[in-house]
Amino acid sequence: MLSFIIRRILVSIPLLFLASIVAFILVINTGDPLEDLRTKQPPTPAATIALREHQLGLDKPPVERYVSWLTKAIHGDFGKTIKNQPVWDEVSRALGVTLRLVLFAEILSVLIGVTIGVISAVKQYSWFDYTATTGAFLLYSLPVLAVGSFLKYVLAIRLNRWIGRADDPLIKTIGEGTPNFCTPSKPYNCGFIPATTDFLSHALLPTLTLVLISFAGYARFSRASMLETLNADYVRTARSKGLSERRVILKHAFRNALMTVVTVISLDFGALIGGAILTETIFEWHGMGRVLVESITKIDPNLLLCWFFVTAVAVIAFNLIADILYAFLDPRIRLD
Amino acid sequence: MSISKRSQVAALALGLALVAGACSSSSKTPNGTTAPSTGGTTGASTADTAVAGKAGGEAIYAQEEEGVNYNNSTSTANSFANTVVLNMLQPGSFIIDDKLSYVLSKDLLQSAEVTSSAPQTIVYKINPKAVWSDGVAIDCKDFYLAYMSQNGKVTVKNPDFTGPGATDKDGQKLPETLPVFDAAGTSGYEQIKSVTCSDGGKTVTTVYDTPFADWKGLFGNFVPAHIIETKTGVADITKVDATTDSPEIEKIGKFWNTGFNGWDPAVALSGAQYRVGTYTPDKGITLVKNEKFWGTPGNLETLTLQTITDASAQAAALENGEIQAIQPQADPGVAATLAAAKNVKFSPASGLVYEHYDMNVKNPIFADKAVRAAFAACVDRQDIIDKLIAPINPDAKPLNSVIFMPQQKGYEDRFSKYGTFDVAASKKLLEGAGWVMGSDGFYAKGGQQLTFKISHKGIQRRSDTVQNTIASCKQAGFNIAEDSDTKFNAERLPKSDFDVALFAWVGNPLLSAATGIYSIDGGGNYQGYVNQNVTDLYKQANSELDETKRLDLMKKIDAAILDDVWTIPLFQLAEMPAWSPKLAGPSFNGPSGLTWNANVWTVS
Amino acid sequence: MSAVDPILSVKDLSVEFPTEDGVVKAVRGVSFEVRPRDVLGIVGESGCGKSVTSMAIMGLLPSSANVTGSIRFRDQELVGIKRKAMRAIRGKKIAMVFQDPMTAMNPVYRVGWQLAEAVRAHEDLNSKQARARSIELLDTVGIPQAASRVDNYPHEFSGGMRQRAMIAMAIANNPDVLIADEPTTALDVTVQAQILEMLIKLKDNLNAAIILITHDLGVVAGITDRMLVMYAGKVVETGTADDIFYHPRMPYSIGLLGSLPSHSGTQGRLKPIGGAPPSMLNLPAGCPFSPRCPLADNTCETVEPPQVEISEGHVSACHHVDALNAMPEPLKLFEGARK
Repeated sequence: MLSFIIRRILVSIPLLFLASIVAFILVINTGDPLEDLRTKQPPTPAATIALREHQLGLDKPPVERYVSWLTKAIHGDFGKTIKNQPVWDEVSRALGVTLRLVLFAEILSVLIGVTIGVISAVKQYSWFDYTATTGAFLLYSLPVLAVGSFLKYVLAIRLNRWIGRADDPLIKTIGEGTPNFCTPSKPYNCGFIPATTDFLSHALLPTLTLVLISFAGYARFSRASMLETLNADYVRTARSKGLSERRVILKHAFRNALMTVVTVISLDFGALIGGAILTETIFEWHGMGRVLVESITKIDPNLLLCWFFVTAVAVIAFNLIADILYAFLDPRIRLD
Repeated sequence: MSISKRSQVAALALGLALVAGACSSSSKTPNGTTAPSTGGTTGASTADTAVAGKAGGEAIYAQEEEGVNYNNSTSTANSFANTVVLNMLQPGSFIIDDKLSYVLSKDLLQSAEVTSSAPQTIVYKINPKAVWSDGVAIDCKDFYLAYMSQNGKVTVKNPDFTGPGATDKDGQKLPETLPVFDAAGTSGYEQIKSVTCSDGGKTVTTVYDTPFADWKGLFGNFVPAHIIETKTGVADITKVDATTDSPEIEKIGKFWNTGFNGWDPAVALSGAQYRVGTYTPDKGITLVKNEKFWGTPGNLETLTLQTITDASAQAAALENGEIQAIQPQADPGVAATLAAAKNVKFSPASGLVYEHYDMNVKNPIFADKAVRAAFAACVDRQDIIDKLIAPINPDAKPLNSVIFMPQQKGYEDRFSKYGTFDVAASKKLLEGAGWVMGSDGFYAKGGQQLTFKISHKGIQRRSDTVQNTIASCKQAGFNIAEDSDTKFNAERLPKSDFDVALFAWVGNPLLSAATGIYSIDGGGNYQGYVNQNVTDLYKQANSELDETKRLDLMKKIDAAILDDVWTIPLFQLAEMPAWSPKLAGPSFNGPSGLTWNANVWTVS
Repeated sequence: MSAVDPILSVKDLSVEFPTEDGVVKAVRGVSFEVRPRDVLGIVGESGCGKSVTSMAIMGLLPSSANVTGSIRFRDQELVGIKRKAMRAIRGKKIAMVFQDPMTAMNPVYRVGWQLAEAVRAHEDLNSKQARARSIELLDTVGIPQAASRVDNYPHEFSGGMRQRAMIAMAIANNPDVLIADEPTTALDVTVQAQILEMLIKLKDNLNAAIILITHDLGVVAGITDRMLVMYAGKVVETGTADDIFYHPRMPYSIGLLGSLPSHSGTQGRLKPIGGAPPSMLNLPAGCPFSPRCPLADNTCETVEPPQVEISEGHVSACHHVDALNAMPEPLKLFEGARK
């Protein structure tokens, strides 16, 4: 197992290297980071533009730019944004935000989705199955924007008004916290409990949105997996032993369905590190999705490269985790 | 959802900005003026301040981009987002009010006067009470630093420059030197010969090499020079030659370029009503009252600038009571939400960005003024506004000047006589010039059909505008085609590759701003407009220090340009400021943003 | 023979499945009995209802199935029995060995674990005792080095070993009835014989009855006491192994024998029965085998044949028993038909 992991990590290095080249080619073709500066009227002094080109390395050939970026990146220096902010600070902050949002929502989605999927499969063609399957399909096909806007209107604006907290809303629609929550004039807000409450009041809607749109996928997937395993011969064998139905479903059918479900979940997780772009945008969480959108709209090469890098690492890492989990869950797979 | 880029216009104090990414309605001109004070001549005179409010309370203003840098004069930092923060933070000589006029900041200055016109000499007398939030006096040093950093004269050798003929990767010649200061603009400052301190640093005398009429746009935002002295170890900044390279000036430049990043309260000092309280990246910056402020303090206890990129998210948060004021990107859907929301005061306004048709001088079809006037008469400006702008701003009207904004002193209707939709008049003009209506319904003259293309960068609003004109001008016998090209603004416009161009300029409080656009061979004169009289008038106006005479000259320029009918001003894009009814005081201000008078805001 | 009471008697067992297209009559009035140490063979093509019959006995049919008739295990009626009561019988009194040992064992658990689970489902043993019992069981079914093999996963076993392990699982609780559904189909011939031999040996040791379900008459030859031949959900012929093998009195049985290598006559060619079994959704009115039967006449197509006792315990459902009796070589019935 250990040698497998080491080997996989070693294989990942050239993979990352390749990914960084692809990302770099994409990035340098995204556009001119100084386009805004160049199209100003009256023109930005040519000397200033020359200075910025020099600072950003835009006057250098792509290979030289790449090598210089890579050399620094290997040493953990991802450079500065076009607004001269340290890129790694921004990305690591965003990573934290995304994790806070995605982790909780993903755990909930998986728990709810898998539970519903399993029950649906066990009670195939029951009213529960029909309701859950139809509901999951509906939610699965709903656009995030629609879900988000609806929740904002109903669960925030209307609900806050209804409970008489229109001025001091209980449920928040934007950001991961109130920006002026803990100020010198409100020292009572500067503790762990108020901070947590504030966080929860902000996290509710985006979490709910993510759960609503993603649990359905897990429900459908685990229902399908369960239906497959429930019809497997070994489940029939288990029943023939006189085991309780509960044991048959959980220990035999679900345990086997779990292998594929877990793999899908861990691969999903890797992709989510890149950011829940739409949800983050709608609810103004400054996570990885926002970093991506911002770096593209602002044509910020270093920021975009760092995003690519972190996302690539996450995808590769979670692929590895998926493999390890699969091997852990399925004794037929041997990792060495 | 719009994640589109709002183009930032950084022509610091000067400039009519070409809205390159003009999918946005609001390109703004950061100016870095100081906050208006209630004791001054501005701010408190706005309509909403009639609502009595008491001091105290908190407000959050949401903007779509986070301001991250205190030194908005660098090209790296320069953005409207910073301006919105700096309005309440940084001292400056003049304030741009909501009428786009420059008003002396009486908190900072006792006076700023022209004492001589040859050479142009301005004397600033600084309020003796004026201090930075660390207690150090605001003085001539700060003026000297502004001059030093933005005169564009200090350069060092370009390390990449290997010798004459060195080129970059695109084959462009590499400059031999690079500037020490990353200045967003050098206009005006480059014409200053000297900045002299006297009276214990409380009097500043600036002498110009050549006259510069828009001098009020200079010294608009100060960063504390004494902080740079401390940080760089330079004992007295005023002793450093501001125009030649030296180890001292390079140290100063390095700090000026990057040292003011990130709202460090120890560096980003206040010289106005509010100072930096807390700053959490991506979350927001909270301004608290500046205890050291010597003038009338602001009403609010704190003012927070939060970043909300998405316009509809801003609207929902405002309606939900999380934030108190916004000015999102114009969007009909968001406008409808805001107008319908119960607890929102929505006051759409006409912004500084305006759209216009420019005819290309190189195209012989436009050589005859009758054709240009006939084109102007068949463009149904009111109908375009009714369809595209009125859904956001019902009060929108056609723009009838290219030099002045409607709220600006000097604005008069100088274009309705050409730009009122009238098919009969249009046809009459053409027939008078010898054009004959053909069997296909289009005019022709000497075998040349009355046909041309209108080019734009391919955004929906512009396409709708062009289609409207194609239809209305067809009635008048014009055969017009639409030419939509995403690279139009970036590549073809500067090469004058068009028949008629549709794009936007941004109105500016500085009257010299459009000089390049309408002067012969001026930068930004993409249509190739030639009128010696206008060029001469501009030269005269830009060095005329008497404001009344200058205004008259500008009016003449405006009339002369419009009478040539080479350009057809269409309409201003809408801006959508909105705030909570609990908040009193906000009023729209194009160049400075809603927070320009946040010191007089109150919450109930 | 009748000195011993039957431990399992099935009477008039019918199983119907409602589907969207109509009711599928999978089993139609099947009756048989088994006594301790009996080996009953049930033969027929796939889809004839033999597996449904065994699943009905195990109580493993889906809840949508409509089961009528009677299945008695000793004194207990199993049709309509409470789920929980059935669970106590299933795996304990009546156990089953399934067809494909590749898929019938759970791939993610060790063989020993799966054996122990079977034991502990019915007996209160701690894990150590259960493990010891597992090793003992593996040893019983002839797995070498059972003590170490107990920790293997099913995929680490060969096909034959897996089937032995399956049998070990089935006999874990010393059942009275062992149903083996195609227990050797997936195995190669030498292993088949070993497995069958072992089953017989176990039966004697356990004093159990075996119901051996197969489509392959060769498998049951020589080891069954009695045989049921099923076709289209019905028993079409029943008798001793000798009856069926040497005096078949139902053309379908003859057909099955004809497709058996050892019975394929002098020409050395297998004689499959032409045509396909009827759909259980729309059974023809008369004898279900009539479309494929060389003897079929008008009566066969309209009247379902009654059960006719030919000799004691030898019953056939055919209108033409007499004609078959009269034939010199009834086993060559299909050869003639195929000309």
